[in-house]
Amino acid sequence: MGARECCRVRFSDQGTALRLPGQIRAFRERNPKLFEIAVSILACTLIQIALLASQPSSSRFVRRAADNAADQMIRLSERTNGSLKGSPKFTFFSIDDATYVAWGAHQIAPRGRIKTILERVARSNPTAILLDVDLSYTDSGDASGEASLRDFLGQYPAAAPPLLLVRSLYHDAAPPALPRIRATSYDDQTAAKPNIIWGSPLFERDADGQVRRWRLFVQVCAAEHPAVLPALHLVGAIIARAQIEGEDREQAAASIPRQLASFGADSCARPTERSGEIAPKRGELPAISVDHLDVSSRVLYRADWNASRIALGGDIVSTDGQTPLVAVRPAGLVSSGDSTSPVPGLDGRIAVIGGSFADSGDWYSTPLGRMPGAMLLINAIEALTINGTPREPNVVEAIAISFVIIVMTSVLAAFFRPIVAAPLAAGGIFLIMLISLPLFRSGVVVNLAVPAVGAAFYDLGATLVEKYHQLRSLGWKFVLKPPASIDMEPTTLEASGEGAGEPT
Amino acid sequence: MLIAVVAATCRVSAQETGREIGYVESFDKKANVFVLHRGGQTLPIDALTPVRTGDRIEVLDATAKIVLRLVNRATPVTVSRGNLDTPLTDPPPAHPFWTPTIAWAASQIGKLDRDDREQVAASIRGSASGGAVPLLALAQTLPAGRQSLSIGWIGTAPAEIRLQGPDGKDVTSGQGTAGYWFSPMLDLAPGDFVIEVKIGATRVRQLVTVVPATSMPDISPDLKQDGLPEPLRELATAAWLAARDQRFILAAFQHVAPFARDSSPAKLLARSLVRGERPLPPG
Repeated sequence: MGARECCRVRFSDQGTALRLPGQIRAFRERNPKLFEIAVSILACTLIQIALLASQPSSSRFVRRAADNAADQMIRLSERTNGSLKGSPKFTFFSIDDATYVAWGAHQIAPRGRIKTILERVARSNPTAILLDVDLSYTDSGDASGEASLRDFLGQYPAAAPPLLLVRSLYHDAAPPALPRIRATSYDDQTAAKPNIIWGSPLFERDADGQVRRWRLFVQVCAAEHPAVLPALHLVGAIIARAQIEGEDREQAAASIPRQLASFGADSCARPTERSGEIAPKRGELPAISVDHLDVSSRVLYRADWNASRIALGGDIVSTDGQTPLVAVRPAGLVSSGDSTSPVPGLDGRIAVIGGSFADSGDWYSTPLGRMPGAMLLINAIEALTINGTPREPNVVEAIAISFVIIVMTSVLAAFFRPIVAAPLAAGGIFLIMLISLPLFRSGVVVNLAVPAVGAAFYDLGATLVEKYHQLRSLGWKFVLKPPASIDMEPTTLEASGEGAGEPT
Repeated sequence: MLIAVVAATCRVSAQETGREIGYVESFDKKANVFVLHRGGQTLPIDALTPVRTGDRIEVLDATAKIVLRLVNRATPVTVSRGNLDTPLTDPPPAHPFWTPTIAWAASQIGKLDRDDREQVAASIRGSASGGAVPLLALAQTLPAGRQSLSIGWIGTAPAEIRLQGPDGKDVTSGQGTAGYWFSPMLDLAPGDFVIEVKIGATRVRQLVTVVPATSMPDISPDLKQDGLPEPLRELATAAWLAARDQRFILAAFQHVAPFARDSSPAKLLARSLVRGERPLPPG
């Protein structure tokens, strides 16, 4: 690497100027390669410490590098999905293009059809039902459908599975004022139903258009008082965790407002940053908490979307055999059946009803490609249930991984040309990713950005030093293109015994 | 019909037994014509019934057909007595490790990766962006009488509609979505009304003059014939009225809007009127 060559020349040319201690000078003369590697490791480590001390996660450059690394891990994990244990199971009743057309291609999902699906699904003993359809819009041309859904919700039995509905928000004052909850024509019917929970489907979209992060709750203003609206994926995960632990699902869902009470804003004027634990660690299920680390809100996607497939993600291993993580079924098949008959195969699964038709406007880019909003929710519920809040490795693990990366890149750069060292280093990074895959699947996101940024900064610094010394030796001629016959690698000249800098 | 028959069952390892590989999409005849055999049990069949490895589906009726969706098949699979005893082997989906890992590594150099691109429309769905109400671009004329007032606008953003009477007081108001709003039944007496439509930050106000029904243009005698189906009569009346004068576009819309949901021709004409387009008058 040119920078390393320059550094070696610099030391030998300016050894008298630097006046290294005798022992170090002797070591350098006896073991030039080892000295070079040691300097490289020391420099990279110091840069990494400086980066960590300056809280680099807020820097766009470092954040982007960390996001890219995590995206690659998500893709690797999804492609090598095999058998999953302990994960909740989902059935996605997809309002696909065929269903959308069969229903008349209306811009608002026909409420009568939605009611039929909900009625059949509720009879089928699912763990929970999530309706990913915004009910705040009414179709005044479908009065009978609206009325039937209203009646259904008003008569929703107390023993029925938890039903999660989407609540949309709006601003009636410019941000940073808190948003308000948009009313629906079903609010009166659902107000006294503890097993009907309204939530927010909000995620965050990055500058590159990809949705990588969730929000676990949103601070809102309700009747001039600050309040907290839980995220639908948080509610779904709490219910799924209760199911796994053998606890009462309805009670678990009912406890969410109490758990989120301390996360409200101080006033309706602006949001307030809050952090803390929402759900404690239970058995093998990690805790769910909110903090300010960038990694803790990452969605560790498990299942991609493919409209032609009826099973997504890996297989869940259970006593009943193996079943897909996400079974996809057309919503039209459910809505066309007898509303009093249950849907087969739904026992113990989380039923999600949402749109996947092309005109839904509910499509998002993710590290696993485009997917409908309902799949975002499914991935978020699964990740939050099994992994809890994603976290970075502990200090010892982080230092060990960083040290391995720094030593590897330093050794490769010392012995190989850049054109060879670079792909070898990339191969080493890939190997580290493969080895850390089980850790990643448990919710630990290794931040490879900082050591990579450290190596990049070191390289940049070494290049700048090289250019500086060229500038000093050439003066104004630095701006001229060097003649092709001049060998600019002093080590070659040195090794050949000719004076440094003399043209051949 | 035997699915994953004995021979196939022998090939299925103990780990793969009972693995869900699809579901029943549809069938003709009654459900009791089909029988699902699973591990010595006899189970009923219905739409969406899961199918597992080792299952056998028996078709009792010679003319019956059942359609399955299986994980390894891109298209539905139809089973009947015609392909009875033909083993339909559907091994469970494999989940290798190294092949996808190598594919993932290769995708890092971008040669095998393709960016997903999607068409986007430069509009925000379902939010309070400004819409347009060409229906109210000019002052309009409506006949007096008992009626439900229909308003339409471009876009899907919700809108707030208000009708003010000659005395300036609100006669009715409401919120519409998906581009349509239907008021409750109103008794409109002759006079000058103002209709206001607010979509996001955009507000449209227009004068609507309500005149006695006899002051409206005479409907063509052709449209008064007995035996004409009502949707067709209303559709033709709407087209005829709109063609007469731009002042009657809103009146024409009243005839066709209630049928727009269920009738494609009505929907087409309603959409055109919402955009302010009208049939050209003859000559």
